[in-house]
Amino acid sequence: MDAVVNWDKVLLAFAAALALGVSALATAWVQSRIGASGAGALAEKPELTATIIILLAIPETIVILGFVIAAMILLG
Amino acid sequence: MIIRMSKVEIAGPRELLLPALETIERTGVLQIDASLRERAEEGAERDVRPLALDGRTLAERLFLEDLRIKVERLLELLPVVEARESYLSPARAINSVAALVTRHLEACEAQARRRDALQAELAGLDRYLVFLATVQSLAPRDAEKAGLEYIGVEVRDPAALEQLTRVAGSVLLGAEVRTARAEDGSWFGLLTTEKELADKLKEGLRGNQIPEVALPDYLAGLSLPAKLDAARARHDKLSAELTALEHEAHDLAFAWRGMYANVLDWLRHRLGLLRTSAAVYETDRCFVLFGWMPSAGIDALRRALVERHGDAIVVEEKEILRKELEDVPVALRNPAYFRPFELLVRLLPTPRYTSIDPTPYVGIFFPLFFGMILGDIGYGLLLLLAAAGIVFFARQRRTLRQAGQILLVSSLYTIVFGVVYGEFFGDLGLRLLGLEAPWLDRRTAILPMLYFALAVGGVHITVGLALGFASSLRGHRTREAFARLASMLAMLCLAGVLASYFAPVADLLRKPLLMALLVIAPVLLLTGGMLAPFELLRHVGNVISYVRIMAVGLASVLLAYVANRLAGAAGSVWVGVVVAVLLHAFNIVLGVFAPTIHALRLHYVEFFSKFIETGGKRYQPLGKAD
Repeated sequence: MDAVVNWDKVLLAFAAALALGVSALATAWVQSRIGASGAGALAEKPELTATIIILLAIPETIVILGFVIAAMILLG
Repeated sequence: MIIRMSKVEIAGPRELLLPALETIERTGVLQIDASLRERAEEGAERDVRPLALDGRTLAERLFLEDLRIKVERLLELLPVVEARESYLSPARAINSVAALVTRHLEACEAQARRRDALQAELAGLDRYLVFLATVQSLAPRDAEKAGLEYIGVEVRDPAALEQLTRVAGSVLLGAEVRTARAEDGSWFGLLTTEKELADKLKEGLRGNQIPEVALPDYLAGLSLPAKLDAARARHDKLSAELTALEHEAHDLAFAWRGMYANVLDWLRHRLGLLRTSAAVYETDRCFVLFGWMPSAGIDALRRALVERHGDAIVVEEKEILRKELEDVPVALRNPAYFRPFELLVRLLPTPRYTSIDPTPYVGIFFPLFFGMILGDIGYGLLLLLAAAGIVFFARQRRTLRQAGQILLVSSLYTIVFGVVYGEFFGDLGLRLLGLEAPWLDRRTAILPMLYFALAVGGVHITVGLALGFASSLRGHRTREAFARLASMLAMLCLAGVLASYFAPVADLLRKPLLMALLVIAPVLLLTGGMLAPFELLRHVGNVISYVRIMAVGLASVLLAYVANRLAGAAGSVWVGVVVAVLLHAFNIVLGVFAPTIHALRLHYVEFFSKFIETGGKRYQPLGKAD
C-alpha cells in the first residue's frame, strides 16, 4: 500500500531544519575564528578572559534566533 | 555597592615621613596618588615640590636594594627544604645579615659551579659507559698487541649506518667496521685500523660528518676493558662527590633558609616604603602626600596617627572635583550573600566610581538563570554536595571558595526549578517515583517555556535600563538619562502590546499602549539622536537572546531523557546502570558549564551594557596592594 506523503509537513520540517542548521553552521564558523584568535590573545594577556568569553558568546545569538524561527515554523 | 571614597591630604614634619608611612601602611586604607597634581600646582606658590630623598635615605635604599638582590639569588641557589622558622628581627641585625649573606652566597655559588661541572661530566661519562660496554664485545682479541687502533663512532640513524659502511669501504683504506646496538637503542660503530692510518681515518670521518666518540684524556692508552673499569671508577667517585655536595647544600638550606626568607620579606616591605617616598611631596619643613581612602576610615586613620606620632601629622579631607571623578579608585563592598559574586564581576574591567556595582544584581539573576536552565532535583543535589565539598576543603583558597559558594546557591535554585519542572535525573523520577511535573513539562511545553524565558529577559533588560537611567542621573547626564528612560518606557509598551495578543483581558490596553509609543518616539529621537530606534531594536534583540535559557535547558533535559532511555534499552541491569551513570555524569559536566557560560553572557552582554561604565581604577591601598 502506497504511503501518502504530506508534502506540507515535509517542507515545514525542511524549512525548520534549514533555519536551525544554517544558523548553527554560521555560529560555528564565527566561533571557530573568534576562538582561535581568542586563544592566541589569552596566551599573551590572560586578563582578557572575560572579554574573550563575551566575544565568543556574541555570535550564539545567531543560532538562538535560528532556533526561534524553527520553533515558529513548526509550532506557530 | 561601590564604597564612598574621600580625597585626603596628609602633612607632617619631614623627619616623620617614614614612621608615618609605616603607620599608614599598617592601617591599610590609603591609596597614595601622586597624580593629584592640582594641589602641587596650586602649591607652587607655597613651595610644594616632589620629595627629594636625602643622602641617608638614598644610601639606605641602595644598600637594601643590593642586599635584596643577594638574598634573592641565595634563596634561588638554596634547595627548598622544610627550614627552621626564624624569629630574628631583620631591622636590628641587618648589617650582620649583609656580611653573612655575602659569605653564604660565595659558598653557594662555588657549590653550584662544582655541581654543574660534576653533572656535566657524569652525563658525558654515562654516554662513554654505554659506548664502552657496547663496543667491548666488538673489539678483535689482541688487536692492541698487533699494533691496531680503535676509533669509536656514534651512528644516529640507519642511513648514517649505510654511509659509515660505504665510507669505510671506499675511502678509509679498508678499515674494518663493526657495529652494535646499545641498550638505549642508539648505534655505535668500532673501526679497527693500523696506527699509522688512524689519523687519516679520523680526517675522513670528519669530512663525512660522522661524529667520533672522543674519550677523555685519562682513558687514553688503556685497553678497552681497562677503559671501561676506569670510567666506572670515575663515575662512582663523581657520584659520591655530588651526593656529598647535595647533603652540604641541604644542611645549609635547613640552617639558613628560614632566616633569609624572613629577611627578604622585611626587605621587600622596607623597600616598598622607601619607593612610596617617590610619590610624596615636600615643603621646606614638611612632607605632604595625597591619596584616596574610604570615607568611613578617615577617623580611624587619624586616631592611629595621633596614637603613634601625637598631633604632629594632620589628615585633611578635600573636596573631590568633577574632573577627578574618573581617577577615584573603586572598592566594592557587599553583604555576605552577594560577596562571592564579586568574583564574576571582577572578570570584567572595573566599573567607574560614578557607575553602579552590578554584584547584587548578578547575585540575584545568575543563580536564577542557572537554575532555570539546569532545573533538575537530582543534578541539583549532586551539585550541592560538590559545592559544599569545595567550600569546606578550599577554605584557604579564596577564588575557589567563592566559586564553590556561587555553585552552592546555584544548585539550590536548580533544585527549586527541578521541583517546578518535575525532573529528577530527567524522567527517572517519573519512572521510579511517579514524580510528575506539577506545572509544566519542559520536554513538551516548548512555547510556554519560550514565553517564560522571554518574560524573564524582558524583566532583566528593563532592570538594566532602569539602572542605566539612575547611573546617568548620578553622573548628571540628563539627556542620556531621559534617553534611557524613554527606551525603558518604549520597551514596556512594546511588551504590553505583545502581551495583549496572548491575554484577551489586555486587549483593551493595546490602543493606549500604541498611543503611548507614539508619544515616546519623538522623545526618544530628541534625547537619543537618530540612532535611538536602532538602540531600541538592539534592546528587543537582547530580550530575544534570553530564549537561550529555554533552548539550552531543553537540550539538557533531552540529554537526561536519552540517558534513561539508553540505559533502559541496554538489556542488562548492570550495563544499564553503567550507561546511565556515564551519560548523566556527562550531562552534569555539561550542566555546569553551559548554564554558567550562558548566564554569564546574558549578564556581560545583554544586562551590563545597559548601565555599566567601565574604565574605573581598582582600589589598592598601601600595604594591601597586589
